[in-house]
Amino acid sequence: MQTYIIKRLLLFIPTLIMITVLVFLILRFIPGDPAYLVLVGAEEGEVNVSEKVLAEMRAKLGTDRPIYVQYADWIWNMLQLDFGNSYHYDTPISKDLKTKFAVTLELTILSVLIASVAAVPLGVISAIKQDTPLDYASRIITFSGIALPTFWVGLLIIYFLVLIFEWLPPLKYATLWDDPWTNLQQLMLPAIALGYFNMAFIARVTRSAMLEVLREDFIRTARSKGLTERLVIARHALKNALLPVITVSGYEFGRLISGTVVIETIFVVPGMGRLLLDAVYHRDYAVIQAIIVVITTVVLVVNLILDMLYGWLNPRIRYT
Amino acid sequence: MAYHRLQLPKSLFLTPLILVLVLVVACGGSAEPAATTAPAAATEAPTPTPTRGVIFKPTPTPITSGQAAPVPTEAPAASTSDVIMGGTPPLHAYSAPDHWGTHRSGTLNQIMHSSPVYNNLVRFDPETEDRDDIIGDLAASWEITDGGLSYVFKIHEGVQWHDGMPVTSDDVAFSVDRWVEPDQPRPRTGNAKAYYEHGTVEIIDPLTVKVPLKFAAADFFSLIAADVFKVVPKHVAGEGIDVSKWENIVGSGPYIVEKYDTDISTDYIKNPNYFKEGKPYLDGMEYLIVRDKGRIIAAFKTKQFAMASSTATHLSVDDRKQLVEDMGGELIAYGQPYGCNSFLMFNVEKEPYNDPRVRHAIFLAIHRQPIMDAIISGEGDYGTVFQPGSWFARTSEEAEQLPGIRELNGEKHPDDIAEAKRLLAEAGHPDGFQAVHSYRTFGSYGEQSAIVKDQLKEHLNIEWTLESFEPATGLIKYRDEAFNTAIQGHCYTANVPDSIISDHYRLGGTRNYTGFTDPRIEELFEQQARESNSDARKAILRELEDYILTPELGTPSVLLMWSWGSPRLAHKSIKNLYGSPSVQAQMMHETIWWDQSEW
Repeated sequence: MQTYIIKRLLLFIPTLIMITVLVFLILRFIPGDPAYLVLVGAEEGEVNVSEKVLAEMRAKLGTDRPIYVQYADWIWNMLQLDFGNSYHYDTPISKDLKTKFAVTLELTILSVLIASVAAVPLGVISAIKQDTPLDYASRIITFSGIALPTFWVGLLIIYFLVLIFEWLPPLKYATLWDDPWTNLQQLMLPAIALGYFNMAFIARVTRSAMLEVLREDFIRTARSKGLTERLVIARHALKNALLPVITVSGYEFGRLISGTVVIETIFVVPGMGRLLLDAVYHRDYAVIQAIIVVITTVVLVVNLILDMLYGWLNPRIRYT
Repeated sequence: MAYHRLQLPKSLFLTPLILVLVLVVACGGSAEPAATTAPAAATEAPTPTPTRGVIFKPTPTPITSGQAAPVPTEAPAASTSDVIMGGTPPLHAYSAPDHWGTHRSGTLNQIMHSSPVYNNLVRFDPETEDRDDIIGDLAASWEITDGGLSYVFKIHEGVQWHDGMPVTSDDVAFSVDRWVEPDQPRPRTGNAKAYYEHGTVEIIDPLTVKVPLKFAAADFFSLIAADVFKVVPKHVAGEGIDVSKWENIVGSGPYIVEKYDTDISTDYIKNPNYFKEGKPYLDGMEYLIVRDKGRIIAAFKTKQFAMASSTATHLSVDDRKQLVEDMGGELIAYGQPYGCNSFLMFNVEKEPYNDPRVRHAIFLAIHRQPIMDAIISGEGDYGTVFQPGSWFARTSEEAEQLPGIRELNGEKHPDDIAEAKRLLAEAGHPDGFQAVHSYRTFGSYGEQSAIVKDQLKEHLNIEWTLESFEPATGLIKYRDEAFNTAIQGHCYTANVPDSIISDHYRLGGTRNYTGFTDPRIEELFEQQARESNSDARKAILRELEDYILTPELGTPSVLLMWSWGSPRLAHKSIKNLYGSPSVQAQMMHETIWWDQSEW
């Protein structure tokens, strides 16, 4: 196992290098001059900026240097855990990332938690009560979750809260440490909006896996031994059906950490998604690059943890 | 190994119940009681009525040689006995500031954040319906001398910067020069370059400065009353400190930025040493940045916003009207004159648009009413060059009779289409042509482009392929002149002729992207800007407008519609707020107060 982990960790290096090269090059090839946008803003700028001022700003940002020098400089600084300063706001990226990443991480964890907690029982009930009204109801819920866009679910939540309660969570963000109650109110709703899709997806996977497992010989054996149906389901069927569920949950975790942009905007959550959106809008290369590196690293680590979890859950899986 | 460790909780199937509990937590018990106010008639824009042809008071007061200085008035205000002090209302901010550099400000997102921190020399009176009334801000008095060629400003005594340093004429002179600093981006304050030569300001004494003008310009005074023309401290901005960062801002204004959370919120606190006694009335303000339209509406409905910090809200006309109606008198929309427009601009350097006849043919062929109906629910007005309702423009009724604007039985006038076809044929395109049209994915530029594309295809067989750019890329394309045609909007720094002409039709204009220039326009611009008699000036402006609409010139900017920008939204508990003279004014908020008993 240790060898396997070391091998996987070593594989992180080429993966990260490839990602950094890709993101670095792609950003340089899309149109947009960060220096210009720093000077005039991205919304409705004017064009009358002299070449002298532009050149000074490019020199300040370092975008006037050859691409390979910029890349090498960036990588070197990153190795020292220095993401540099935001082009646009001229503030340290690591400071922003630290606070915003924590928000998105909390949102993601809440969302996956909500999704998993609801999805597994829903999938199990749907499987063991196949083709009954309960199954149909479960299928309606899950298909809706998959079909409805997340942003739409978010808007519906807001709409109904306003319509029924004339209430919305406070707009000004409170951190978990400063004000846990407000923080929970602010993050629970976007987490539900995000979690609904995941819940539906995981429930579908759980149902399929359960249906498959319930037809296996060892389930028949368990029943013939005289075990109660509850034990058969909980101890034998579900455990075996959980592997694909974990795979999906892990995948969803990675997807969420990088995919909260719209929900963060709708619910005014100051997370990494909003930071990324703003950075793209302003061509803030330094921030975009840093966020992508962070997301990539998180996804790689989550995948590694998942793989290790497989081995722990299923002794038949052995890594060498 | 751990195959048996996975113990499933007995409560597995109770989890949906847990979820319900979680929802209850999320919805919280602190929900405010439902508003129980009796629904009143929706209060929409008390002023001005958004009908066509409203005539606003002529502006500005014409300068006459040696004219005595207007007597400055310190905001007369509503009776101060009504004033309720205190409170920190939450205000909607439609966007985060790109930066905090007030003189670099080109859009509302910058100036609406920095305006409360600084003072102007003079400003539009925020406590009156008279939108053209200009009062002193830092200036205690002023005098027009040298036959209208100089302004002498005397500033208030004892004014302090937020760091305790005194505000002096040195700061004012520094700022006046900074408005027009060469080579620096000055998208709004740069308009003053037409009147003032950098480096010519004179310091008379520690409280007096003399600003010489290039000519006796009627619009100078109105221009510098706009919020962007702030006075900044020389001992900070002049010492290389970057005042485009909020942490570095030192103002003299009614509020101090206590904290700015990037892209989240700005907390302002009252300046305890403000030189205007008793002001500001609020203890502070909280600007909350929300971009999503649905969330903005929801926030107004649930009283998470007491007002909007500027006229920009992301809401369409229909959204805004619906919101005001839904809130049954709780929310008020404060209007303003038509200060914004939308226009089709040509790259006058590129074929076929380098031919004035082609440009004029398109001007004639566009049917404006369907555009206004689709984009602003008809709440706009026709215009050719100047905004209807202003003292210097044609009235709507007059504009509606003009070729290119006129209709016949609600349809595009056939004579205009015939003339447009003739011009196009004369220019060598009898069967139309194909071209790429660009738009930025911002506001309603895409929708407007689609409507114009259909109209040009129908009327002139011009076939456009639409090419969209996200906003930042679009700006780069404009800068590099890498477009043929594009649709863009603009709100003017001050609703005065000089701004409008300079921004579109003169070299260096903020919306003149392809270097259009014409000697006759320059000549007429100079004439009208120097003209002290308003009737005579109006006649010159009419001549200029007519000239711009000739096929010989071919306008580089086809005005599609004039609109308000949008009215300022405020809860009824916000008092002493009036509509502003332009979208670029009245963002200091020193004279409003908050009656929380009505909140």
